[in-house]
Parts: sequence; C-alpha cells; structure tokens
Amino acid sequence: MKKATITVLALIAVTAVGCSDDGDSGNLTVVLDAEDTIPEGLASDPSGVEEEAITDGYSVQFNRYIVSVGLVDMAQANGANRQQSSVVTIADYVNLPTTLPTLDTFNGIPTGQYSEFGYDTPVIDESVVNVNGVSEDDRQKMIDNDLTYIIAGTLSADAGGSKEFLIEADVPSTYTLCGGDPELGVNVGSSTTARLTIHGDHIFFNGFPADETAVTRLAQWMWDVEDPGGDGLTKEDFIAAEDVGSLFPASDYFDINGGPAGTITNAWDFIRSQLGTQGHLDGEGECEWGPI
Amino acid sequence: MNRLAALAVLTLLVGCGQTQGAFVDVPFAGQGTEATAFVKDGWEVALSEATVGFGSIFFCATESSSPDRCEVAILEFREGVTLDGLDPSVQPIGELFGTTGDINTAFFNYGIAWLLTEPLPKALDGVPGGPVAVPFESPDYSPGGHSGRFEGTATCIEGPDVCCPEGETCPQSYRFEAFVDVIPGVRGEPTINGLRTSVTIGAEPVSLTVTVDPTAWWQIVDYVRLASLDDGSGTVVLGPDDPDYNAVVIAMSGNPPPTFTWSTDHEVK
Repeated sequence: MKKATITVLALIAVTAVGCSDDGDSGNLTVVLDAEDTIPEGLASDPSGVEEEAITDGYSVQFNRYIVSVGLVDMAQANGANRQQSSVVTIADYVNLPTTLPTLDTFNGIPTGQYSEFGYDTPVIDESVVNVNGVSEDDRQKMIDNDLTYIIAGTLSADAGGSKEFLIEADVPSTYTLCGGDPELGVNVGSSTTARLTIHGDHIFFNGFPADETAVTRLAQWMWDVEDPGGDGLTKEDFIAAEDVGSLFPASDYFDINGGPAGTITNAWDFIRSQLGTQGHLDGEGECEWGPI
Repeated sequence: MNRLAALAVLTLLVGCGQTQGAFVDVPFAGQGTEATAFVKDGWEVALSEATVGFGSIFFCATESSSPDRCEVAILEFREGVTLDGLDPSVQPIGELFGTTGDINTAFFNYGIAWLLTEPLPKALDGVPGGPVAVPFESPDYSPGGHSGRFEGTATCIEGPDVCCPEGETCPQSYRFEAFVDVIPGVRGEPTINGLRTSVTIGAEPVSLTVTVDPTAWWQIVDYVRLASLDDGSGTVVLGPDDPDYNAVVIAMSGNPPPTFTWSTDHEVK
C-alpha cells in the first residue's frame, strides 16, 4: 500500500515537472506593434527581390491605418494559470510611437511558457482606449458602425497615375495560439514583453498560405476596381467589383475562399477575409485566426 | 524500459494532453449533384458533362486552416480519383486510412498535388486526362491531368436585347467547354486548406461521402460575355487566360465547397 502511494506521487510529480511552471512569479508587458509595411508603405519591385514589395507594378502608401486591438487571453498548457485583459485600444498604426505603447501589464503572474496566447481585433465601445490621437470622427464612426479597421491610402502605378482608397471594415477577429518561434506563445520571466503586431499588407496577398514567405503581393486587382465617382475607392466600389475571375486570376491567386470570410464573391469579401488574418505576435509569429 | 518507467512516460503524455489513436480504415465515396438547368442574364444553362478530379485529401484535428498545424493527419487518402459530378448516386472511391481521434478540418486537392519532392505540381494517377490547359511558370509545363472537364449549353430564352445587350449578333444557343486545373499555390501544401468538417473517429464504424455540385460552380460564369466569344462555330472553349475560367477555379475552391457527410453506417451506400 505504501509503495503504491509513493509510485502514484512520483507519477504526479513527473507530470507536473513536464507540463507546468516552476512556481516563480514574473511580469509581462503587452505592447502594440506595427509591421513596417504600415508606416513605410509597400514599394514596387517587379523583380521580387525586395521583401514585402508589390511585384506587379504598383506601390502603396497608407495615410491612416486605424485598428482596434485588445482582449488579450493567455494560459499555460491545458489552460493553466489563465490570464486575461479587458483592455481594448484603437490606434493609428501609421504613427505608432516607436517606444511601442503598452496595452496592458500582467504583474506577479506565474512564470513559464504561456503556450495559449491570443487576442482580438474586436468591435469597440465607449470604453476603448485611444492610444495615439485617433480623431473623434473616426473613433465615433468605428463605434457606430462596428468597424475594426479604417485604412486610407494611395495606390500608385509604376506606369503613372494613382488611386486613393478608403477601407472602413467590420472584421471582428480573434487570434489564438500565437507564436511558434521556437514555441507557441510567450515565455514569461521576471520582465517580459509581448508585441501584438498588426501586419499591413495582407490585402495584397495572393492567397492565405501558412508561410508568408510563400506569398506574392499583387495590387492589379485594386487598380482594376472601378471608381465611377472619381472620388477614390470605397466600400461600395469594392462590393460592386464582382468579376472575381478577372480580379483574381487563377494563375496568380490560390485558394482565395480559404480565409476567414469564406466565399469570395467580390473585392470587398477579399479585403475582409485578408484583414481577418493580420494579427501576429512578436513580428512574424503566426496566430490561428477566426471571425468573432 | 521497465513497466514503471513506461507508466511514468504514459502518465506524462496523458498529463500533457496527447493521446494515442488506434488504426482505422474508413470507407470513402464520392457523389455528384444532378444537373439542373438554371437561368442567368437571359440564358438558360445546363451542364452535360462535369468530370471532376479529386484527391489527395487529409483530415486533421486542428481548427486552423494552416497545414503547419497538421503535421500528422487523423485520416488520409493519397490517391486521385475521377468523379461524375452530375451523377447523384454514390460512387465508391476506397478507404481513408488513419487513426481514431477528433477531426475538425479537411485539406485536399482537386487531383493535382504539389509534393515537397516535386519541382512543380503534378496530376495524380486516376484524374481526368486531356490536353494541356494551364501554363505554370513555363509554357511547356503540364500537370499531366486535370481537376475537371466540363461541357454545357447556354440557350437564349429572353431575346437578344437581354442575352447580348451589347452584341451586334447573338447566337440562339452555344456550347461551352473547359478543362479546368485547380493548382496548389505553395509547394508541400494542398490546394484547399482548412475546410471545416467535424467528426470523432472512434470505435464505432463510420463512412464518408464527399459531394460536389458543379452546376453551382458554373453559376458564377458570365454567359453574356461567353456569347460574345462565339465565333460562329457554336462552341466556346474556355482556357486559363479567360476570366470565367478563373471564376470557375475560384468557385471550385469554395463556392460552394464540397460537402462531407459522415455516416455511422459501415457500408457506403
């Protein structure tokens, strides 16, 4: 009887050592981060040599790139030591401070690997934290219309000419199981920082591959969307662009129905689906994405 | 390893959430959808042939659409087959092989796969043959088979002003045909990734029927535009440079996607 008890205790100890933390407490600071494509734009490089450049003869600059980010939710293996934040922010990622603004801090939490790490780009309400002076008009517009993105920019053709575009999109999304380099999530020590990185170039991706290095960035589709009013491309213009076979030729695009928005019937569907994949961790750490 | 050490390792694995599945074979069949005529922009359209290449296919536990999150499939079928997409009767394919476990997603090809060991995508044995359809990086490239072979007829039923609003001439009727290739975009990844389907493969026998609906795929096509391509021969052949060919490729990848019907009946009827 005594021997059996010792054996069981030994097995429990082995399980605990293999799966959990060491009992110390640590601190985690979660900050907002923008991929370089947002403040710097996307260059044109038909050779495909330059990273994150558009290869079919266009370049893009963003004037505003406002995103709602928050609701961090993380846990260690099997949901242990779950930590959550109710903070939701909006920020213009074109002008994000280089010091990277803090979204929230978790002090005195158990150290170790938080392999289940995620956050949302949610619909906002009046409690939203305005990080870097998003205009009152834009903030209220996001609240009133359940928007999660306001993106304004200019698409320029190498051959000459340009088009303005304004994307005001409702794409509430949740990102889970973020990271993966080398392990999923965040390893919390005495003083750790996690960056919630918003990518800026997915609407120019040619599919939804697991590895972004396999992506080609193309903008011909946006150039081809008609702007009958001549006042810049807007949601209505993207919705009217239903000729998906012309906009997204099969020789260049792959599995475009494979994003979070599902079936693509017009350019607006494509934009929404790609925007729903832009949340990352610590730069390039991938997350599983899904609509809220 | 002695019994106690083995038990300790097993306990460790169970404690970390890993489980060991038992090997299973799951009967697997395909099914088409009966051809029904539909009307679009004044044209009544009916498919007369829809031969669909299907496979390989992998069923995974992950809820993600990333193949990286499915290093080991629960069930898989690595071969290619040809389905009659307009035949609603069940067409036996073979057996999925794998282990017990929870399935949440499917990753699959329409008969053309791009293995890590291959420089370019290749058609699997058993899928529809035919002439070269898709130039891929090189004009000499051919996958050696197709994802689909389609034929149909469009008939104007509302007059030339509706059927051909901008055309000087308007055929009363024309045939259309296409060899369609749905090509994987990334080496080592299937063409369609993360299509949701949920089932628990356990001790109770299950079978799977995958159903395709080619008529729905072809409802995306612009038949007014196709009529303008009729050179008087009465036949329009769609190739990979045609936007409506691309529209069909997009439709095959998800508008609508194949449906997966899991049955607890052991025999695929």
